[in-house]
Amino acid sequence: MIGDDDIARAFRDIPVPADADERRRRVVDRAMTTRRKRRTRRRTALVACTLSVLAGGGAVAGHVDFQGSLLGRRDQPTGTLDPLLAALPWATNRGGSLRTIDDAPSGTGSLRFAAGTSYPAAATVLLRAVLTTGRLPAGVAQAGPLPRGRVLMRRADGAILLSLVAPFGYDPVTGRVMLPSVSIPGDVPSGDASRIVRAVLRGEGSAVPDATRVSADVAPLAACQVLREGRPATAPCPTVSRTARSPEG
Amino acid sequence: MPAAHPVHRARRVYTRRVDTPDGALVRAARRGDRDAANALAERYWDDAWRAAYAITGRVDLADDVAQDAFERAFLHLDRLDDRRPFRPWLHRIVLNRTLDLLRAERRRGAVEITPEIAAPLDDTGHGPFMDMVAGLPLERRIPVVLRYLLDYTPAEIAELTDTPVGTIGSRISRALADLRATMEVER
Repeated sequence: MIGDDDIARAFRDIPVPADADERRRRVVDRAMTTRRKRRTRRRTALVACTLSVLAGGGAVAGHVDFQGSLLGRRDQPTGTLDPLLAALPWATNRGGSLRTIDDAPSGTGSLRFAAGTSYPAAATVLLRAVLTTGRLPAGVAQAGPLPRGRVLMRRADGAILLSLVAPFGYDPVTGRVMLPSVSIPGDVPSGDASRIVRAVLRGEGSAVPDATRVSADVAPLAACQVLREGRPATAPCPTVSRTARSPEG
Repeated sequence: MPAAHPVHRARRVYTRRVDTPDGALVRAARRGDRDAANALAERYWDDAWRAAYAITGRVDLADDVAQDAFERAFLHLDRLDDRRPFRPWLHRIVLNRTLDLLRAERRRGAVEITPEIAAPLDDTGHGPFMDMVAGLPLERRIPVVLRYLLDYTPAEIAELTDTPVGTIGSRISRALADLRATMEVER
């Protein structure tokens, strides 16, 4: 009778080609050289983006904070999230990668808020909807996707469109999407932490301990992340203009 | 003492390769440390190549998968969540690249992998086993490779492949039954 060990040994005895070491070293050299060049380019881009924020977007910033007791008392049973809110790419991340704007799926829409709504207020409304009711409030409508890399569009009539790809913004240089911060009580086993974070971001309040706390910093947006209807479009952010693919691709 | 430095350095590098956890090597590689990146590659290259070869049955595709996967992994190390281990993240990349290349081969009109084309290492005496593996349907071949070559549990394989764990269990069982039957006959 052939045992599991025999099969495992047969796999592990598969010989690798004689030039494997040489190939491996070449790959590491090539990748690490590319990393070094990218880091240099990003430092340059960071300076440009910082100047851009200071010059154009510094007026909008805010902080959203929710206590866990609110999450735990949702009257919506698990699984009744508005389909639009159930498919938010930043809330449904799986696998080992932090999602970046490069990985964002195409076709994700936006939300239209009434004239006079500020960016932090819009982000707050969205987070509150995800965490509490599971439904979009009256006056907020679904709209089409914004161009890749844009978080916000200010329409000529005063309304704003908030992208659902990265509503809390993203780092204009690295592309890392900003997520709400979830603080979990210390007595929760570490193995449950990721399950709780997923439950929070999917609005499954009944699965979340009362003492859980969710907050989100709504950072100022860089000019490259905003579109203003009727004005010439600013250049896209450096990370968006790159053509890097997801490593899981 | 000019001779002391190279000896000390060589010893330090050897110690790092053997003892340093993946997380520390990943953090060092993110900062541009080539020794750390080499240590990670040395630790995982062979099994990644074997996995790609066992799934595709072709040396040229396994070479391409290993090179592409490690290059992507090192280029995108910043995307690895620090709370997650490096090994399954890398193997997910390897698996995805393997499937990508197989699909590309099919689009190019290449024939399906069959035992007849899956024994390029015959001169090493390993061809018969690869014939048996290549005889498995792809959906069974992948979980068997992940289970017996890379030592993942069925639950971990389910997560790596986005497949229900029960499905993985039954695919492994059927694949093992096929493999055992063939190996018994070969013996």
